[in-house]
Amino acid sequence: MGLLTEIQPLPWEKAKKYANHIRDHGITQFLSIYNKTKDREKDCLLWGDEIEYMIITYDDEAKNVKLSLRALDILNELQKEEEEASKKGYFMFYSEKVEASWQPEFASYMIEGIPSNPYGSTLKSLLRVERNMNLRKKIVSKHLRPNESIISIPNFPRLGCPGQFLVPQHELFGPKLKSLFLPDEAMNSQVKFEYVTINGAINDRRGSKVAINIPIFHDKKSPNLFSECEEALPDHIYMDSLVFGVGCCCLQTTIQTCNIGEARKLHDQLAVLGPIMIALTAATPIWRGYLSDVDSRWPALVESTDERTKEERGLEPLKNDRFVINKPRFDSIAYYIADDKTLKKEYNDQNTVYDQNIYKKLIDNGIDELLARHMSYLFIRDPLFVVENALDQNDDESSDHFENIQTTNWQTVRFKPPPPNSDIGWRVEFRCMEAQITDFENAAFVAFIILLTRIIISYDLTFYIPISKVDENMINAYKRDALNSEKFWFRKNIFANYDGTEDKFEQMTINEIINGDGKEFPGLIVIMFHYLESINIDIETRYHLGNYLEFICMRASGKIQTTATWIRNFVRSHPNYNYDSMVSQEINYDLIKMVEKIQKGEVKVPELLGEFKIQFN
Amino acid sequence: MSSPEFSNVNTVIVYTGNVMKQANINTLKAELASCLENSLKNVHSSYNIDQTRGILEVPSPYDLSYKLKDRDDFEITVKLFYLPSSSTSDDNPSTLPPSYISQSLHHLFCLLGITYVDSFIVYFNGLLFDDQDQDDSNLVMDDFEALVEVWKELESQYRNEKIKKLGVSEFTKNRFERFLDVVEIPPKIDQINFKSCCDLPNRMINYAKEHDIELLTHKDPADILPLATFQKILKDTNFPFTSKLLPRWVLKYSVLVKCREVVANKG
Repeated sequence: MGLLTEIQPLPWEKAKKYANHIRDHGITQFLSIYNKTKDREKDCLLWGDEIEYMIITYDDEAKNVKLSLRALDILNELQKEEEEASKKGYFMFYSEKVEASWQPEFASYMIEGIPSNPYGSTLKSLLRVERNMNLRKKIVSKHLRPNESIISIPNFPRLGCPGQFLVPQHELFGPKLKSLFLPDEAMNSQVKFEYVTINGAINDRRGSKVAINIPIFHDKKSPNLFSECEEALPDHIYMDSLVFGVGCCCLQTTIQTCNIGEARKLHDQLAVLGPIMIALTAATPIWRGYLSDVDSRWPALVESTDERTKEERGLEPLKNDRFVINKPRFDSIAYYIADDKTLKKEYNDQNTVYDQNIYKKLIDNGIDELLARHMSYLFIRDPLFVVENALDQNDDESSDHFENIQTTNWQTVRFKPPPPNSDIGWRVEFRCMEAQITDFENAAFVAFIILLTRIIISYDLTFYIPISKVDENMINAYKRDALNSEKFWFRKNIFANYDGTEDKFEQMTINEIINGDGKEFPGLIVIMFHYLESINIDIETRYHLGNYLEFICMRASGKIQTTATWIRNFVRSHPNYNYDSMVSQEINYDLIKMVEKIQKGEVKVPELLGEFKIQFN
Repeated sequence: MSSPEFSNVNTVIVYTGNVMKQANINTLKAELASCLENSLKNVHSSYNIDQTRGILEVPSPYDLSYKLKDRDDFEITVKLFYLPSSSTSDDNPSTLPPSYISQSLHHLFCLLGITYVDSFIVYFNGLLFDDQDQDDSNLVMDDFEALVEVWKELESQYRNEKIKKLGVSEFTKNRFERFLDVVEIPPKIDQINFKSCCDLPNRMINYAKEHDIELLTHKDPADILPLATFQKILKDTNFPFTSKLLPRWVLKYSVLVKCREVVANKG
């Protein structure tokens, strides 16, 4: 029997009074952690991954597929199982090894799975990633009913459509979400009311419901002007709730670095790669049943969590709010933070506002300028989830107030200090990638990021370009077929000991960045292969890593399609498609059925996966 | 222009420097050739000469700041390539002088400021790996005896704690079996050329698992430094006394940061 605590999170009107308190103490907590761990050295390479999954249920007779709220029950069963297995292990000294851990997510049809223990510290461990991902699906499958399934594409194409997309069905326009398209039940209201509170805080702080506008894809027979209601921008698909954004499935990876310096360096370098990886993993072309002109979940996430007021967005003169903020909470990074000779001052050129008082406090307490500015930028935000009886904390032992602000800054990369009193080191979290259909693909992309960090350190690579150019890249990254049709600013002189005086950057295609331009730019994968020849690697690991890299090579070159392109093509070649951008219930049913078959290796799709074997032995 | 201080030199050791920091992403063969050229071109700005023994080092290992601190944090692997012109005997061109082992190790120890390496892999020129080989017709008796002589020298270095693990390259199951019959300290590593087109060599994989051998891969070419390439480099860099120098061996080394899979130094 556990402890029953009354968790009473505060509604926004009350919560906002404690914003300064939480910020103040959050910074003190950060300083405490920093001072205790800034000299940590020689931490090993460890990493983990997180994937979010959707639980769906088929209605074969009606040719419909729906999201299932049974995800919440399944999650409870999984967590109980996990607890039992670890208890057994503790008391009996043998254990049904606990391999995977489960967490709830914002949407009530989603669950999140992670490996119970981090991978590492040799490259051989990269082979465990796909096995663990496969295992997660197997574990969940034991709890599924015959007509249920678990999939990991970023979004459910008909979420928010008329008709039934959620089971059990509930009424739209509930008191919490007030959404024209979703019932309140789509949002997870368990978990200490955390998500419900955050949702309320965002809308109340902003002064209106969030508005997500995604440009629609105009097909041959699409209506000339697409306009649903006055909130919607013309020719855009309109969505009015947080759930549309945070209800998307992502693929994230966290990497432990050897010390704080390496964490700061990798934070910056991976941030530049953010847009590249969005374009490579793009898998979200459909919104609310319409084909859109974007291929990634990113713009929806940015808009669905934007709690800035009109004043902060610069739409009205500043009266009540402190700053005009040019970046929403969910966005690419605002500042580079590494102490690196190749980071020129002028590359931090977005000049996003930061809290001068917090900045001064950090500087006065020994934090250098770059890190101080990063923290004081993150800390301009208000805490969205405030629990009254948890306000007073021991700042030397707790990091709750710090994490409150830190984890509700949703950036492309997150610089993570060690938790207080733990053996865990400085880490970097890479948050951009979209969940792919198969675990082969997901594991390949995780391997790519880990190998990317190894070559950055081994070869002393530097990708610095002005942050404004990274932001430009972000906008191009989520456009339809960005991989083949967009170019991205990228640095040409990527080896740090370059003799020349001027840094060179150019707009390059994803193919050139990953596979080389045939001239002086070698290509990231080419460097990875070169790296694999410089380490002691056993033949089986080399073989599988070779497959992962060859696969990404082919995606980057356009020889095989991104998931987004494949989904688009599936829809547009479906016999019932009317060339009007609309994804009907039946098309969606066939699409999801096909996604499931691909995931299980029951069907070959060379246009998406080449000839790669997607089931791990 | 010939330099009088080089007149006693009978051995030249050339260092490539740390390839990882030279922005040189190329095949191993091309990298080696361009690094050699670089080092030899700049001989007059950096060299070290041992007049008594007649050994010239280019560049001077004392000018390169590669000395390792915290030796235990690193794993150092070396691979010695016996080149086609390795034999110094005119009568018996197929001998493989075991002395190259202590010679190459000595220079590496100087360069990195170390007293032992973690793994030493030896590559005997001409050996190719084929998982399906029925009998080792590649290897005639004389050659085999030469291999064993080299191995005896490696065993001696191992016993003196200069090497922690011994390894071979391109050994098939058959070669292994033949070898294990006559050597005292068995190889713990077999490094095979990885061909991405082909399937995994399961026969060798199973054998390796049974006998606790690490089966590693590499993409090193069989002829890492062709004589013609070497001679061209000597010519192009105007290196003194070009005509008499023959390339005998190449030592490839990798300094890996343990538990971080980071290559700190490679040359």
